[in-house]
Amino acid sequence: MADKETVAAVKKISERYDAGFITDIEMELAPKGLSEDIIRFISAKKNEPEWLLDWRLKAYKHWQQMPEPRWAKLRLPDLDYQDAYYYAAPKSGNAPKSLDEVDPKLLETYEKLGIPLREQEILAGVAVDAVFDSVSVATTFRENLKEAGVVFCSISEAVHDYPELIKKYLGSVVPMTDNKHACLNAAVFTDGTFVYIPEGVRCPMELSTYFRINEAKTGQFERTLIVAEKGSYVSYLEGCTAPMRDENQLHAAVVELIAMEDAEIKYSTVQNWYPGDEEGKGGIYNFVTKRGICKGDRSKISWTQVETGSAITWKYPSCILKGDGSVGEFYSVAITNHYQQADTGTKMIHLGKNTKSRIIAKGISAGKSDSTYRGLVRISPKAEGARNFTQCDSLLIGEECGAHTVPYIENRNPSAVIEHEATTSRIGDDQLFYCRQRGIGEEEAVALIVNGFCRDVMQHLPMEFAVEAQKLVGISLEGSVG
Amino acid sequence: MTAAKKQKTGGTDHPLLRGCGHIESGNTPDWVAALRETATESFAVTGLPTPAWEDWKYTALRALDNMDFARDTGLSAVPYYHAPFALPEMISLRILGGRLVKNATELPRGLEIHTLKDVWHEDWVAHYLAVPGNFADTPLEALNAACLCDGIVIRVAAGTRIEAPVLLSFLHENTDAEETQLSMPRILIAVEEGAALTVIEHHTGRGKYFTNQAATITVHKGAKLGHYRWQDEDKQSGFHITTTRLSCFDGAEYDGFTLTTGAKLSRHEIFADLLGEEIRCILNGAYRLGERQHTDTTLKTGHFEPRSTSKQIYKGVLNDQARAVFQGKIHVHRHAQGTDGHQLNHALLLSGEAEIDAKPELEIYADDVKCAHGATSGKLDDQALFYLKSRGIPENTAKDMLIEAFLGEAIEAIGHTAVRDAFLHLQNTAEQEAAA
Repeated sequence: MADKETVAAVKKISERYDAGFITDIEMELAPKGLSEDIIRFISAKKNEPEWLLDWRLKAYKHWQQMPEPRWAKLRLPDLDYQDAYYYAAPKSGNAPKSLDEVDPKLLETYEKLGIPLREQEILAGVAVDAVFDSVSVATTFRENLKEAGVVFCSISEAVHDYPELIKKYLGSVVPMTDNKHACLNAAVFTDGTFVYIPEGVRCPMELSTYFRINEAKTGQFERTLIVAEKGSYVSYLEGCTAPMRDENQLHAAVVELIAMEDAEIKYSTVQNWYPGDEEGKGGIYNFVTKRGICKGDRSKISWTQVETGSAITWKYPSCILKGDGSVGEFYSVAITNHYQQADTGTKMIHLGKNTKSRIIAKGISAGKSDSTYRGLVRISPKAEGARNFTQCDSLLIGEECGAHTVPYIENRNPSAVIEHEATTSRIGDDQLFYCRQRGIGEEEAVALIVNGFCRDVMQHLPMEFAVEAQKLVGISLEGSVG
Repeated sequence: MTAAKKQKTGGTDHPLLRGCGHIESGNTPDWVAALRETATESFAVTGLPTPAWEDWKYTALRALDNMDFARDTGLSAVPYYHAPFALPEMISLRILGGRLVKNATELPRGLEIHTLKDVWHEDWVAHYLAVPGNFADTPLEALNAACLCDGIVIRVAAGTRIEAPVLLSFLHENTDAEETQLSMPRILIAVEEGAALTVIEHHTGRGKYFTNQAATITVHKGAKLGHYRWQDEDKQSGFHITTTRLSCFDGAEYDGFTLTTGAKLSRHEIFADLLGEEIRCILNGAYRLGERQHTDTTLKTGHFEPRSTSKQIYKGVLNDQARAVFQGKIHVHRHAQGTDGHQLNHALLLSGEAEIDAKPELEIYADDVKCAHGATSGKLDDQALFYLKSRGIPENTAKDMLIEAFLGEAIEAIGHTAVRDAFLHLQNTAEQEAAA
């Protein structure tokens, strides 16, 4: 039983954030700060073609003029972009050919995080691309995937191996000028994952990327690009952790998904960046731009996210429903505790006929945290027969937290049907009492009830992730009652 | 925003400020002078809001940019006007150019109705109106205050329950002049402890004019106010904006309803502060628009103390290129445990070019609350329509029946029976007009 496991996990873990250790490994760092030279340095390190460097420099120029997005319901600090490293890579070689060449220390790190890369290679299951600070350190199962015709590699490799695809799709869904954080990413992105599923191929296994920030004072700027050709299918998972540090670190990623005719992309995230301590000190600033386009008819993009980490989360995975009959889904659980802040949600832009979208968002706030759902549903005049259903529920635990809902609903087509529901409540005393009188401790009872509250979302996660996510729910809420 | 643009929208020589003309300063109390000054300064800095402002995201006031304005002196001849309904004992008053037209109607004991100028030296009036407001977020309220020179003051003495409803008819007539006439009605309604009152507003007119109203309403402990508005301004060239500040105290009941059928562009912004316990605050409304009409309802309900209830139901029907905006926010502060907040917005789109933009918002800082909002948007139910047609009812009639039932749901929640029936009837008439 997963619920039992949750309780066991909560008990077992004495440290609140068990991914908070630091790997002591020799690193190569670019000089601190951000400038054109740093961008040239990164580009040179990656041996990039001229066009990509130009693209980066253009983004950098634009970035300097862009204002910080301030519209979210967040107490945002002034970021000192010069006080960070924009490139950090383990010294032990850039591109290991196989796992045998990977620094054992790195393998150990991932093992400690519960992602044994070596075993993963032996046991059938999930193919992993492991990104450590600025570079991808290992990608498993590449051979098997190659047989199926699936391309799964780090984006730096893809730039060399599949330049045409990268040139065509990079920045096509999230233009570099989209917002300040996406623009910064375009200028300084160091690695990330590229996935290409050819026509008619059903990807034989789950693909996943594990992001790890290790070095102090570094930001992580990765880019993920997934292209699913006609009639293909892929399920992609993303996980992230970072050591516990007093300082705040910036994570500004960009994810672009492209689904052609009849293709389906399922993108799941379990975000467990270090959330800062109980006093609100430290933690990751998670400023991420994720967007997918359903280009072809009847294509489908589904986002599932479990957000438990980060000091500040600013993230709106979106779907542009361009193809007729295309489908967009967004399932989200956002948990905030202590001084965490989350402003997250989605955008569903209906352009094609008979497009459908479904949004299920569950927010849980505890401690002194604030959690906001912010979502847009836009029906364009041509989106005949479009359909949207949105449900956002918030749960408050304790008297000092806040839960907010800010939906934007714009309808310009009379044949569209839009429904939006939102509720806010707390854990009922009767629910708690019921658990308590059956001998379940208060904290465990809360984890149990919250897991029930999140069920609608959790069931959309791939199995391996669902178990981890359920445990995380319990851990994140530790210390929120009593 | 660039400096050049700011210069264009703001400044003390803004056409709207100039349009208000000279404001007499003799014999005004200090608070009026101070308020005008702060408000003028504030408006000079902000100018009119633009869609870049989060609260004005869906409503652009560009149409006001290239207009010439003249103050409505209230002297133009208003043609024969008859009240849209007659309720028993109704006290009927006219407001021209933002000024109350005095008449000899005898008022029931305990009810006072004044023109602001007559009472603004009195302390209690200053108590309500001399609030050093922060106008940065409400430029139109600032504009109203900058031009403050008169208004309507209504007060009910403690413990007095006034049965006779008060009808305020705001009339405009400006069919000939080049300039757009400006009128800035200022309203103060104070219902003292345990008192009760019903106020109905009817805004109507013909020609080019812009009404920018500001209202301050206070419902004291255990008091009751029914406040029903029909905004029926000129559909082609009337502009109507109202900013209402409502304060309710322990056990107060406010029953508000706005029916919007008129104006080229209208906006009703309500700040409802529930400052006591066990308050019941209802802000409902219905709108029915066609052609290129635009209406915006922005509600901000603040729950400050425990155990109050707030309800908002807005239903609307849009035809042609009409556009409606609904922004509602329920803000539950830390103390306000036991809050019950509900908000619903339903819209029917009858044409391919109509548009509805809704932004229902919840901001909650207390854990023991029941808050929910819902929003839907769609067309008339095909099945219901088919059912009626299969019973031999012509399509147009069937559509009207369905629309009537749809809007009726919101109107039927009006607490005052006679007003409810009158508004239901109004809605029907509006339909027949539309059909014709």
